Amino acid sequence: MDYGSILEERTSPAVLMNAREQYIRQCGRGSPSAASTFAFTHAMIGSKNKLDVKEGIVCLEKLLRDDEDRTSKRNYVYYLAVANARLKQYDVALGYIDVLLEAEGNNQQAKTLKENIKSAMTHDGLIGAAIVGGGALALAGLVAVFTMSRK
Amino acid sequence: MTAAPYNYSYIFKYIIIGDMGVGKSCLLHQFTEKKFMADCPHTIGVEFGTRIIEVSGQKIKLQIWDTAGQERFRAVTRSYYRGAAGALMVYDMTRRSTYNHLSSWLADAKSLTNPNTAIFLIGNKADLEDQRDVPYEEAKAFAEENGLTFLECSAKTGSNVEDAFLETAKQIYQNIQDGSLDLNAADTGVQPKQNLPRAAENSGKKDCNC
Repeated sequence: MDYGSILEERTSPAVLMNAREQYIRQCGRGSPSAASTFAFTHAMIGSKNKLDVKEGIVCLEKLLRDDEDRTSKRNYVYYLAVANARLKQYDVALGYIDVLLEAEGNNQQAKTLKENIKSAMTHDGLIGAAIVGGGALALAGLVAVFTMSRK
Repeated sequence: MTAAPYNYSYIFKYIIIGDMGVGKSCLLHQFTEKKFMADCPHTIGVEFGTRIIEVSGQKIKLQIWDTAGQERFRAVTRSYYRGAAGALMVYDMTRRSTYNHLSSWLADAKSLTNPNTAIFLIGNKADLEDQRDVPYEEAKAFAEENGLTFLECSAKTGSNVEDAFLETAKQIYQNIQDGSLDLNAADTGVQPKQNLPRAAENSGKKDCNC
């Protein structure tokens, strides 16, 4: 319960199970609502199991591509930064948070997350290492989707 | 992860709830940073803040979850109610609609938290007295009817903000002292600080470091 930052937060298994059940139930009846899809991905990226986090990232990337709503897109970009940082994919995480900060330079929540990511990198001894890897390339396409939608 | 800068005896979990734009994040920011954030964008999902306070000579770490007011996040934010020791329910005293929605926020809070959760009602934007849309007496009566503590605050000037967070902590601490809050029960939102650093919690963290 004693979290230092949002990056350390973990979804309880009960919350993850509920979110998954609701999502699957809605899938069975047709297409799930945006709210329960998001609740499910949010729970997934907080899972202790890295495979869940990875699956959550795939869902968020899909939502970011498919959802036309600009307000929704900022949510997905923020949580993609959170999820990638939790997997220690810091270069990708920083890429996403910078996209959000470019659109909303004064967003304190985004600034705080960026600081959290940087201190996690310091903690892992990664500051100073080359941080632009393959992840940044994969990101470029999605970023274009996000920035284009601003117009 | 890193060593705590201070020692504390307890962690209390709080949630801040209420309509969009009532100033929940600004209240949190004023409380943790002692600064006012102007033109604050809508919170994404859930934001997190901490501050260490003192109640009756005991250091207490407040872990505060500031939830997005937007409807689209309700499914996510509801999962944070469970295990909250304190809930700050906020309305904007210059916008009647945000006050009218309190009964729905309160119903959520009562059904999703435990019976001991200290619920505090905050009328924010008290600096805008000339635009007041909800009389003090009316909100006070609503609070009394529902067993809530009530204050009007201003996240902008900081007036009463400190008190709202501290009074809630005093109530929780009082509940611990008189035994009405059982620390061994699940989801109390109160965690006594373990004295040994090698607690189960730490070994859990090690797992995600690999």
